[in-house]
Order: sequence, then structure tokens, then C-alpha cells
Amino acid sequence: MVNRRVKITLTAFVLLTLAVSQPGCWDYREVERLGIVLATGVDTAPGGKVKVVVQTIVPSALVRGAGGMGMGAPGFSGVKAYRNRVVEGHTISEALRDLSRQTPRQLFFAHDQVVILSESLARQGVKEVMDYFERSIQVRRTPWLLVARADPVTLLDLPGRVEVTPASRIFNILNERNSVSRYAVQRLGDFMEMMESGSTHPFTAVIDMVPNPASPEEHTKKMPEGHVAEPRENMRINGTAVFRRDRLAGWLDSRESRGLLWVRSQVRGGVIEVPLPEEKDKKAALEILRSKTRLQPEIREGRVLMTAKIKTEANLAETTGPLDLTRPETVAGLERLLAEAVRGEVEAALAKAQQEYRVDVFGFGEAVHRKYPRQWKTMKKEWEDMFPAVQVRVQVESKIRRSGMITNPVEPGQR
Amino acid sequence: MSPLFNRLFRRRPPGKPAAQAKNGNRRQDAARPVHSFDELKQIKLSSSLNANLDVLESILGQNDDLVVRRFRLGVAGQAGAAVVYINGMVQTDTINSAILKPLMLESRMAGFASAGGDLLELVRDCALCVSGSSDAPDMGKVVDGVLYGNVALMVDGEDTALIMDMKGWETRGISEPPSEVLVRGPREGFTEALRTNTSMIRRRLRSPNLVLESLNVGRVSHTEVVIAYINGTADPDLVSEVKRRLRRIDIDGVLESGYLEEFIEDSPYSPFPQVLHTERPDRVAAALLEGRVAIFTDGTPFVMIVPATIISFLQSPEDYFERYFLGTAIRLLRYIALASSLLLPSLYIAVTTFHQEMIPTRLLISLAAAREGVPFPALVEAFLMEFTFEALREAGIRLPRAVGQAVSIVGALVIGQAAVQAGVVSPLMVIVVAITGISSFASPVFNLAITMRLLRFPMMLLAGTLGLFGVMAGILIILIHMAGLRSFGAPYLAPLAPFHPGDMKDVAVRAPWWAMRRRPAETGKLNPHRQPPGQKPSPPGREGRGGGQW
Repeated sequence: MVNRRVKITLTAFVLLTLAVSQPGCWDYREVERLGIVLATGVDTAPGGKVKVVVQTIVPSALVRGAGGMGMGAPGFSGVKAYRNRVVEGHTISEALRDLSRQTPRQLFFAHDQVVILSESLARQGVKEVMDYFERSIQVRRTPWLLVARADPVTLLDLPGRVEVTPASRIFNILNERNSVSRYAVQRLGDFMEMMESGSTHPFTAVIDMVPNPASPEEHTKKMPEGHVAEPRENMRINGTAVFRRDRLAGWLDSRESRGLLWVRSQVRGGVIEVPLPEEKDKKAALEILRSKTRLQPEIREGRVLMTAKIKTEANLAETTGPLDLTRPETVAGLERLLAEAVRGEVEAALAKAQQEYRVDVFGFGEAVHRKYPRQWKTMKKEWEDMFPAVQVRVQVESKIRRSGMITNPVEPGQR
Repeated sequence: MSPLFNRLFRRRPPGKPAAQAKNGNRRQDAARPVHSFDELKQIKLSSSLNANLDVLESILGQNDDLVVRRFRLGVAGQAGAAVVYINGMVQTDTINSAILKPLMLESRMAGFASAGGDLLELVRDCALCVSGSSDAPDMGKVVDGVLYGNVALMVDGEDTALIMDMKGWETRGISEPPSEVLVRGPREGFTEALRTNTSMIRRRLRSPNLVLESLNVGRVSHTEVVIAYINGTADPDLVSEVKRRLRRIDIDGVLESGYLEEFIEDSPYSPFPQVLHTERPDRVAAALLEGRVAIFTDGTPFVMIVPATIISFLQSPEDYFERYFLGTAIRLLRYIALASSLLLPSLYIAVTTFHQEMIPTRLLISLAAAREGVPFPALVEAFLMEFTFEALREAGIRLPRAVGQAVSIVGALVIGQAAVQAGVVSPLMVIVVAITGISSFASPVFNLAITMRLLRFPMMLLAGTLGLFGVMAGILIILIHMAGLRSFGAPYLAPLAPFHPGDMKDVAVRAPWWAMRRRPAETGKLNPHRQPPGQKPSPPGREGRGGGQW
């Protein structure tokens, strides 16, 4: 009977529709219902609690004009395009969930770009906090991790004019990390991996609040209408924080930070100054083009000998003293100076890490592990003690490639 | 007859005699007897002209456009004769000069012998200046011939009539096919006249192996259908299968090839077209060369090509006329457009309502800002816009051409603009719908674009309920369905599944002509080699290196 077949088909269709539509939609959420979190800050709070700062974007503040016509430049409407919320709790999740008593939107962490830990929290140990970030299904491994020497709450509300939110300001500052190579920043996931590894200790960059020299001295002075004075404070990424497992061990300044980057083969750019051979107080600035480092461990009589072979190339960016670049010897001399400068930076970092903090942030342990997997099994437990005694030989192979638009220094009246 | 049909009949009020289910058009009426060709074929012609004409008049006599011209032929006008034709379907001038004049005047001057039995033969062989003629021994042939624009000549004392081809009705001239316009390529399109259409193929393929076989379909319409193929290239099994399916059809009228398409396709419940139809003779000729079979239907400019695969719907003749780089690039573009016309709205819905983590941060923020204040969920918003778009498109097609374009453009712009400004839909949704619409226009065959338009809506529902999971499920269902489809024995996804690596030259790319050495695997098995190798052109003097010789 055709009728029966029609019935069966219809029933199947209805059942299928129900089967699809009823369990569906459970995780349905519209974009505009989300409170998109761009930055998270974690600080200690009295009573063993943690204080969480959450920066969410206000999308409507980003729309030019009324009625939703067209997207303008960010923050165009002049309204602050973000909201910061602070909440305390014994656990981060509880604190964050408690936030929904204040925010109309469901917090959405998949686009978190920056996670800031306060110095006090870092000193106390971050492993409890990391549990949340590692466990959460929304938080990715990609947000940058920073240690703040200033208060995260203040830091996340520093007024900026170019970027819409402090979060994207930090994010974009960090995107330019290769033009200075003065700090070693880690993504959250990499940091957690290092924290849990048996050999390498984690580190990440430090964010500071610094007085803004561009700020006018007298803020009270009458300004023309609509004029916004430069803010008193700026944020700045300032060196590197070194951890012993999950606790802050100390700081590396910008020179030592680059030393760390050299060893870890992460220098992609930046300017390095070398003293000129003829006049020591005059400097030449060399623009680093690329570098590559190979770590070659060797075990001799139970002791680890590490050779760091650094290859680097640079351009001459500037000189403040006389240099005759038409002569190959000058170039060779500059290359030697560059190698010297690099070695100096590496040795500064080594001294800090080996002697003062005694933590292996360089990945020496991993290099040994890779080359001597069998010996490493026994060595692993003593590595903490062995690391400061590792003898490091730094070999730098440097090349100067180009000298910019001119060859010899500017010399008035010589043509 | 289906039970549904029976039930409909049973519901008719009693007393009123239901039209007979069998032979639906045959209603008994005393005054006007109903005839069928089978019946008429039984009536043999008699040797009396008057008797024959009486029979003919009883069949067609009520028609005012029937012309019966009696005259006498022979030296003394001893034999009566008559020509019969339908006014308006024949060339009257030619009848006068080529039939009546020789028979009425010249036969007298030539001193026509009045040998009884051979008179018709004599007339046919010596007097009539008409090329197409045939003998008709029965009334069926006479009526059929007269109704198809032929002239019947009947002579007293002969039990055979002569049917002469005098077709001369008005037809539309050959013009550019409106549904398949090319920049480069022939501008001819098929017309409604069957013989004009077949002649266009003959002109393109002047081979004795081109076979055009005709048969009639339709009890009332008696539509002539021509099957075209190249003997020795097309698979004989395919040809006989096409014939078998066409012969099976019992329908009263065939007004367009679409009638036949639904009778001969493999899977009537599939949304996918399994027969390719085209208005372009070059496309038909190319298909014949690949070993396919073309089906011409009288009265429509659309010619069907079988077997059709999904890829053949995405190939435009222009791919082959332009240089192959362009052909390849445009083909890639078309594949992307096809996918986006099916998937773009559903992907948008799935990503914005379930998988916000997949959207780049900045885009997500713009999205959230754009959707701020939009009162509908993304799914409803999408349906609203898609509906508006489809309605506009339909309106644009049906309206007179000049108005139609204005309606679609202005309508889309105004509605899009106003809807966005009023905050009813988000600008991004307008963009998505617009891109989807443009993509669906990029399909070279209208057929497949309609299928994609239809499938888009269930896909959107799946996306709105299950997210990307639903989209993937939908894609899989469609793929599984397509993998099971066949068009006249050829797998629908061929040459992708089953995979024929050699055919990729015409699927992934459009290889240059000198590299297309083989016919498609599915249809060209019988005669796989299209051309010999080594025809790649090279500069003079270097023939030995690049090819040239083989």
C-alpha cells in the first residue's frame, strides 16, 4: 500500500526532524550575547583568595554612528570600548561565575589575548591559577602571559588612543617583539608546558607601568576643547621574569633577556650597539637580521659541557663615529665586535641564571636529553644541582651584510 | 494508476460519467468520432478518389484550415486527382508551381498516357518536381502526413496516396541562446524547429557516423523526438537504453523536453538533475564527440544530453574556446562558487551561533557590533534575507526584461539598505546573502544552481540547530546521495568517484587541447583516443625536442 509507505516516510521525517532539532541548540548562543574577554588579570587577595580582572569589549562602542551602519575606526564613537570587572574568590571559576551577577553577557574566553599575573601571585606560585587556565575549554594556549610589576587592575585601564582596549594595546606591543628582542615572552600554553617539564624552567615577559615623559607637566593647564593630554603613565614591557617551576625566581633585564633569546635561538631582530674600535665612546648600531643557535652538549667525566653556536647576520644601521666601510678589514672588525657584543649578552644571561637564580631557562637540559637520552635518566634528578656547573662555550659567527643607503659615515664638506 | 488517482475519481459526484481512465482523451461522442492513429492505419485506401476523400473529410472535414483541391490530369483530363493539405503549414506557392502546374498544365502538353495502374508511378517519377515524397497506402499515413505539413496527392483509380514534404510554417529565426551566453563562441542557439536544430549538429559534425534516429512520443501531440549519437563512439548499450526509455513513454503530449526528462531520468526523487539540457549546438556537438547521446525534442530549443555527471554541469563551452589558463582558472572559480552557493549561509550561521572561537578576534568584534540590536537569531535573519532574495530573483525573472532588472537591483539595494538601517538585519548577513546569490549565478547550467538553492535551506536549518556538526552531516548526506546517483549508467560523481585519473585533465583543470588525448572514461570506452600525441606546438626548428613528431 502506498498509503502505508507515505505514513512511514512521514513518520520517519518527523522523527528525524525532532531528533535533529531537539538535542540541537543546547550550546547555541548568538554573537551579540557574548561578553568577549580580551584580557584577564590575576592577583592575590587577602584570605587566600584570588582577585580576577576581566576585560570585555563593548562592541556597540565600536560602531560608527547610530543604527549600525558601517564599521568605523575602532573606538570611533568616543565611548570607552571596554569594561573591566574585578571579582574575588577562592577559585577563578567561582569568581568568574559570580561575575554573571553583574554582567549582562556570558563571558567568552576563547578570544582572550593576554593573561596578566601580578608579581605577588607569581612569587606565591602560579600552579593553582594555571589549573584553571589549563582545564578551561574556552581558554586557548595562545594568549600571551605577562607578569605585572604594577597592579593589573590599573594596568588594564591605562588610557590609550591608538588601540581600542589596553588588551589589544598589549597584544600589539607584543606583536612587535622582534623589532627589539629585549624580552622573552611566552604564550600561556608554552609557559604551562615549560612549567610542567622536568628540565626547563618557565619564564615570560614583564609588564611595567612607567611615567610618560610625553605627558605635559601641568595637566591642569587649560587645554583647547576636545584636546586630550598625553596620559601620565605608559605601559612598557620591561625584561623577563624567571620562574623556578611555578614560583617567580627573579628578573632578567633587557640585556640579559636578549642573552636568553640568543641561546634559545629566538632573536629575530632588534638593534645591538657596539663600541667603535677607534673611539670607544662612539657607537655603531647594528640591526640584527636573523640568528640561529645550535646547542651542542657534551658529557665529559660526568660534567656537562655546552657549546652554543650562534650564527647571526646584521646590517649597519647607524654609526656615530668614523668607519671606513670601503675596507674589508673594517667590516671584519665590525663582525668581531658584533660577535663580542652577542657573547657579552649571552654571558650576562648565563651568569644571572646559573649563579643567581640557578634555574635552567635555556633548555640545556632538553638538549642533553636529546643527545644523551640514556644518561639523562640518571642526570634528570640531579639537574637542578648540575645546571649551575655547566660550562658554556659561546661561539658566535657573525656577518655584516649591508650598510644601508650610504657606505661611509656622513662627513660634512667632503664632497 | 495510483490509488490516489483512483480515490480522486471515486470522489466524483455520481451520475456524471467519469472520463475514461484509459485513453484519457477518448470521449465517446456520436457527432465527432474520435480517432487514433492505430485505428486509422487499419483503413486502407481504396481506388476510388471520392471514397478516399469522403473518409478523409469524415476525419478532418470539420477543420476550416483543411484544403482539398480537386483537379483533373492527363491529356484529356481523364483522371481525377486531389491535393490535400493544411493551410498555413505548407508552402502554397511551391504547391502551385511544383505540384499543380506540372500536373494540370504540363502533363497535358506532354501528352500523358492514361495507362491505369501506372499513373501514380508516372506522376511521381516524371511529373512532380518535389524532392521529398513517399507512398501512403493507408489513411493513417495520409492523416499523419497532412497534419505534419505535408501535401497528400490522391489520384482516382490508385489505392496509394503520395505524401510530399512541403513544410512551410513560420518559425523563429536562429538567435543567441538567452540562457547560455558566451563571450567567445558561436552565437547560434537552437530554435523550436526540430530540423533546424538537427541541421545545426549535422553542419558541425559532417561525418557519416553521425546518426539521427527519430521516433514519435505523445499520443495526441505526436511529437518527433530525435536521438543523436556518433556511431562507433557512443556505447551501443547506452543508445539502446535511451531508445528503450523513450519508447516506454506513454503520455498524451510532450510540449518540452522536460516532460521526457522526468520519464527517463534514473532517480526521480533526487533533487539533482541527471540530464543535462542546453540550447547550444556546440555543446551538443562536443557531448556527441565524447560519446554521449543527445535527445532533440520538436518544439523546444532545449536539447538533452545523457549521461550527465555533476562535473558536466560545471563545464561551460567557453572553457574550451578560451585559452586553457583562463578555462582552468574560471573552472576553479566556479567550483568555489558552487560550494559557497550551497554552504555560505549555513557556515555563517554555524560559526556565528556555535563556534565563535573560530572567528578571528577582530572579525568577531565587528560581528558582535553589527549584530547588536538585531532582533532575530542569526538563523531567522538568514531565512528572512534568503527568502527576500529568492523572491526578488523570481520577480526579476518573470517580469518583462527591462522592468525585471530594475526590480532586482533596486529591490535588493533598497531592501538591503533599509533593512540594515532599520536594524532588522545585520550588514554582514546582507553581504553573505549577496555573495551566495552571486555564487549561484556563476553556475553555467541553471539546473544545478536551482538544486543548490533548494538544498541551501535544509543546510541552514542543520547549521542553526547542530552547528558545524550539522553542516558536516548535511554535506555527508548530500555526498552519499550523489555517490549513489547514476545517469544512464554513468556514476554521477564520475570521474571523481569512481576516480579516473586520466579524466582530471578536464575536471581539476582544463588541459590544453593537444593534451586532451582521450575521451572521458565513462562515455568514451568504445573509442578512447581522441587524437594522437605529440601535437604540442613548438617554435620552428625545435620540433624534435618539444614534440611535434611522434
